[in-house]
Amino acid sequence: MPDIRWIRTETPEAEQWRQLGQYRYSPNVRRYLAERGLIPAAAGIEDYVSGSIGQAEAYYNAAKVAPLDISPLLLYYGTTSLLSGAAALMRGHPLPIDNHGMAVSAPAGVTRMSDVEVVVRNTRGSGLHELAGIYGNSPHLPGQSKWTVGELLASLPDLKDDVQLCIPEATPFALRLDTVRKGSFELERILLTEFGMGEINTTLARVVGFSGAYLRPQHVADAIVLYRKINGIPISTESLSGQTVLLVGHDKGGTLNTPGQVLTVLMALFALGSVSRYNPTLWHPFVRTDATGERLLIERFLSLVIRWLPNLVLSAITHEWTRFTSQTLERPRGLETLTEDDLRSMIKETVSETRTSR
Amino acid sequence: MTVSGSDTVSKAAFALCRQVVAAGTRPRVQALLNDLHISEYGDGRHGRGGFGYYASKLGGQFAGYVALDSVRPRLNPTIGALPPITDEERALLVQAHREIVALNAACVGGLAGLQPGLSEAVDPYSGVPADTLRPAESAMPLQDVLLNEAFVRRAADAFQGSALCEGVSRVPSEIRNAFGPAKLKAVVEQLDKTIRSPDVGKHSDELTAIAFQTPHQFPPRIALTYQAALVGVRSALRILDQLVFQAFQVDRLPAVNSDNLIDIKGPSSSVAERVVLVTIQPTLEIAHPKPGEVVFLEHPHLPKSFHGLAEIVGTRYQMSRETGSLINLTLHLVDDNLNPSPLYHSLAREN
Repeated sequence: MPDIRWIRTETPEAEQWRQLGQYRYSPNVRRYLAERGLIPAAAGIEDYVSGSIGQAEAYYNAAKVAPLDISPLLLYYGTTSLLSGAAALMRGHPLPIDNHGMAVSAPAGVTRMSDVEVVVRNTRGSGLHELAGIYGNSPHLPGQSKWTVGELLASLPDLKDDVQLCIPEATPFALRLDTVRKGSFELERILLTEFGMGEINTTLARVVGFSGAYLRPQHVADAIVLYRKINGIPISTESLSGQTVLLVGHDKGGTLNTPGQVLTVLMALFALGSVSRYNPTLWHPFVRTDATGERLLIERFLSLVIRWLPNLVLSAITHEWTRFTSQTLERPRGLETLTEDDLRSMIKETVSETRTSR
Repeated sequence: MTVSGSDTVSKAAFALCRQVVAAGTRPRVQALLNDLHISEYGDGRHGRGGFGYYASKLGGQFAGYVALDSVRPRLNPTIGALPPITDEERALLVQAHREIVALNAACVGGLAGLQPGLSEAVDPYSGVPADTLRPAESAMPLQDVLLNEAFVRRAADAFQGSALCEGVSRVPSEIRNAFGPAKLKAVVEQLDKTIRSPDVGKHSDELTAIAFQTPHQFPPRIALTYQAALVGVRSALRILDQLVFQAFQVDRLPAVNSDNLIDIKGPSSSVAERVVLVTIQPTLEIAHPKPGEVVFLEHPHLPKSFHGLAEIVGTRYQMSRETGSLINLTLHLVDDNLNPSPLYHSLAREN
């Protein structure tokens, strides 16, 4: 995984936009492009990047104070602007996007937002397809594949507990890992509760690359224990908030697909934004009189997006995991600075001295 | 199945093992060995796993089973009554052991005549009391031969043509005759025990000094070289016997590879050992490995020269609710002559 860049601030949301905001200035855009060998870039690239990021920030700020009636749509527009602008910066030219690459389907009788479906359309100029090439785990998602809002939300590890409260029958699409160090190697544990109502071996079999990365899982009292294969290819990733996770693939037409968190957010926002804009018959009752608790889940999702999506994009642009902390720098004292090698040397010296004194 | 002419000891051993696996006589032996390790059947009946457990602890392949059965009355006060075996089963175990003993005798061949006591010194079963391996004659008729004579001959020919046997033959008689039978057996057994211990590294400084700092013709060095050659012969026979025994139990040698390896320390070499320390996750194939068993080691992380047969010389099991089950194995790599120690070759080199 890339290195972590820590930035000290009391206001992470504001600070991440300030960091992104540096790319609203032409000299910074030109320098970024030059450092990555992307000069000469497309004509007008500086205005494209600057305008996209500026609009994104405006949409996000508006979404923070807007009611649920319109906040998903604002966030969707803000997210597409942000992703497109950042993609243009990283590529040196705008992506050839002229449509969403998705459609929404609300089957008859649907009352829950979780059951609304996103249908992938891999047409020319598809926004989803073009952005998948930059932000997704897979190069593209199968055309005509259908993704429910529920399964998309269940794919975001930081929403897992909220999804399980609201949709207990939901299939787990994210498995949170605890890493344990044991001598010279590490192992990972997945609590059995992570699997919900899913069957353990079936769920693990749907994690793309699992058998190449791990030995056969061991079942202990309350968890599954995973030992990594030597020279195995690491497949775990980090959630929006830094939790190590395994993402479970979605079976679409016989192939396993793991869109990744950015694409998952984009698709879920598209669904909610489209329903709010074009299907008030479904959206209005949900916003005003939801009795299932699903509204809390959607609101939590939106607040997660507001906090973390810009952070993810910033990390993509800088190729570092950008993390914000409010802890102040303290002068290191004594033991905090000791490395593992230091400790080994100290132990050897002590043992040797003890032997000599005997 | 073809029988080939000259080849390495390991190739001939594998050919013999493949013959064992394919033989029509094997299923009875395999079924018996499995049954003697079942503690409780699926229907709740008690099994005879106690017998298999103690026999395995004795070691020595079929010798452990035969010896345990013959001391049954003596063990009663200590561990209680051992599960019974039928006369037919006893005859089968005795025959299997005798055929392996005959295999060893064929491999040693003409070396036995070089010196009184040499046969006993290189006998892998010399540590088992002789009277326990000669059970009373049974009324049961002899069973069909378990080890095909042609493949036994092939293994014996390869063995006698190996560098180890040639090395034993080349030692001057005055050096050989310095050891009486009892002393020869004692020094060989002691050196064998030293080399097989997981911490043989402690002795490697002395052995290294002899191998690299003394002249090739220095008599004490020649004497040690002779002992090392005999230990090599004894160890190679032990590994050969273990391979044949494992061929009766399973179709393929258990593998330590990317499907079960968690960690590797080493490999490292000294004059006395080529050793790898591995941590593995137990699998169906390697669930309860024991010292003396042979595995096949292979992993891209290891140099090719460390791929191949390995003898387990140390095991440590770890189990916890937090981290599951692990097994630490100390492995000695085995060469083409089935020798798990390079000591003879280190000493026989001319400096």
